[in-house]
Amino acid sequence: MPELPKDTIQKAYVVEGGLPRMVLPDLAWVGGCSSSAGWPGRGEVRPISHEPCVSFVILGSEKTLMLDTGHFGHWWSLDGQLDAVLQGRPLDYVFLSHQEIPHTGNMGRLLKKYPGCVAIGDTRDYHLFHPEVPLEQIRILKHGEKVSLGDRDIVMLDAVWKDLSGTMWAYDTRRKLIYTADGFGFVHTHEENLCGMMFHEMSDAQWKACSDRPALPFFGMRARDQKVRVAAFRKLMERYPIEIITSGHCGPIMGPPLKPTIEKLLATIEDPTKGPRFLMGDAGEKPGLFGGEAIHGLV
Amino acid sequence: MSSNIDRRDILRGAGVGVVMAVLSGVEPGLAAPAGKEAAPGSANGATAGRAFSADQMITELVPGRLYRVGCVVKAERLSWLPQDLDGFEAVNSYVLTDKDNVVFFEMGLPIARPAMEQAVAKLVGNRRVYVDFTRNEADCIGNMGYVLGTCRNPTLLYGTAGGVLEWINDPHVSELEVRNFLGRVPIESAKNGETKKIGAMEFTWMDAGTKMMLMTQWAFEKSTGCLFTSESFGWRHIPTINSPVIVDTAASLPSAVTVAREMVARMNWMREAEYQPVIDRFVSIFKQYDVQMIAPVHGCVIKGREAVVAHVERAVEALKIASKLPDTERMQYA
Repeated sequence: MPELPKDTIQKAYVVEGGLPRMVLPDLAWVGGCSSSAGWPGRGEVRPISHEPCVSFVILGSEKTLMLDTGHFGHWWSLDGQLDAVLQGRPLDYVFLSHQEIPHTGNMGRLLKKYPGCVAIGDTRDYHLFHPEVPLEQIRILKHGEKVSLGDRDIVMLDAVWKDLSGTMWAYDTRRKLIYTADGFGFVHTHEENLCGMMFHEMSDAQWKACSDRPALPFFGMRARDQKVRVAAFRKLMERYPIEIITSGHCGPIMGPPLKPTIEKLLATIEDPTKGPRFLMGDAGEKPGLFGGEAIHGLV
Repeated sequence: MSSNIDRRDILRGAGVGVVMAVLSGVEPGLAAPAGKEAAPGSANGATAGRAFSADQMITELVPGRLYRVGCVVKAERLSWLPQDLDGFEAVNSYVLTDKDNVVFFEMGLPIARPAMEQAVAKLVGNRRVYVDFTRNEADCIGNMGYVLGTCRNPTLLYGTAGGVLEWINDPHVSELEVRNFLGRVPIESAKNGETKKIGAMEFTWMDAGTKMMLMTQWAFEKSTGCLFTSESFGWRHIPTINSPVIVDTAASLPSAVTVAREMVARMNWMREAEYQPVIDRFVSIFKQYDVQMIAPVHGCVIKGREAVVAHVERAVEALKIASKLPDTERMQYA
């Protein structure tokens, strides 16, 4: 086996583009990207795929909350990123979107770093992953239930599209921000140099290229009628108006690109024969541009 | 973080008691291991306000060849159940051995760590170590860091997707070992469609018959006739802590409706879906391989051809029912 350089994890889980970023005074973007260049046998493959593995910290007037925990492989940087964005405040809540390593693999580390932090969401199973954590720190919340951060509530929402069965979304009532876990995730390449960049900061060409590559790792999607699910998402938007979309695999989507990005993705989901051939769903289906591993955010 | 002691030297040939003495109390915050082999029916690991587990043990499935390693937890707060049950759940990993080799197949949940420690102490010896798993989630790889960090010169059999290589949530494995992991542990391919002989064992890997996570494998081991099915077939639970974790009869199966509801608790895409090709392929797997045992990561092991046939038939019935069940998440926004 060829000799591999040290700190290979840092080459596979990169932090570029100036993260962490304070997107708004009360919204921090933390994490990094999963880079295909860091994996055995992929070092010379071009283009180098980057799937963002990110999370967000909401700084409420009284309490703080992190949306997902970031990828386990990013902890080498995430630990310090959290210090930077919290500026001495404790982390009060961490919302766990689903029981998957890129999203919630740092739960144990976070609850150890912030002993008063409570994990919320559909938190079934986590007591088996982290038997050292008191059960009272792992709180199961259902659709419609919420926690207050002082100046806003964070509302739990059943996900319309689930990566794993326990997937939930979260909604910030003040910023009208929704966190969609694997929904609205997009892949870019290292060569495109888009790490840490939001859609409204990109050129039209950059936005188009990036939004042409949604990451939708939902097995079985094509077995179901997606029109009714798109209709359900539209109903969700009526009840919970959206001004910012965040996900575990993209920077915040806000401003002018918000609506076109939503419509483009919904069109793709509704009819997979149109738009990018990037949907992964059926056993044996050929992977998209970056391969099945990259799509799943686990390069 | 690791101490300066090479734990592999200490563990070589050591009994369980020595292993526990070395490992207990090393890292504050880690749940204390049981300290001794759990007597059947004993409750342990149940510090007030923390997750409950019992019966951390090794169960022989095929003499000298295949072992189930795991414990029992309460059948509550489990995402693969549609509701809490008045009973318990076996959580499992598996170890296969011949005289020269040992294969850890699924490393199981962190809550079953004491059982895994027993397995490492008792079953590795001087054998060459292999590690394999069906899916990179915590119920399959939760103790992988412990196994890789403790065993001498392990080899990883790898056929799914990345991310797994970093979830080594084990304070006994130093950050240096984790960071340099990819340079230390050889990786051998175990992709779908491949067959590999490891001593007297022969593994064939395939795309999972039913799954939730995109990159999920099943594997068939020929010498035991055991099919490792990841989260599938995990619908046999146990009523008491003392109940056997092996089902070897075709009697008293849960109804197809009950099984269907459990299937969609995990594989929720099945609801309101059409997937005859998935069902056809599911059936074909059991026609292609002489499956004599089904080994899921949770739920009872299903042992014996008669029991396997009955459970597969029930699963197929349930798959057809599952497609008619309502998508409750979508209905939240109707």
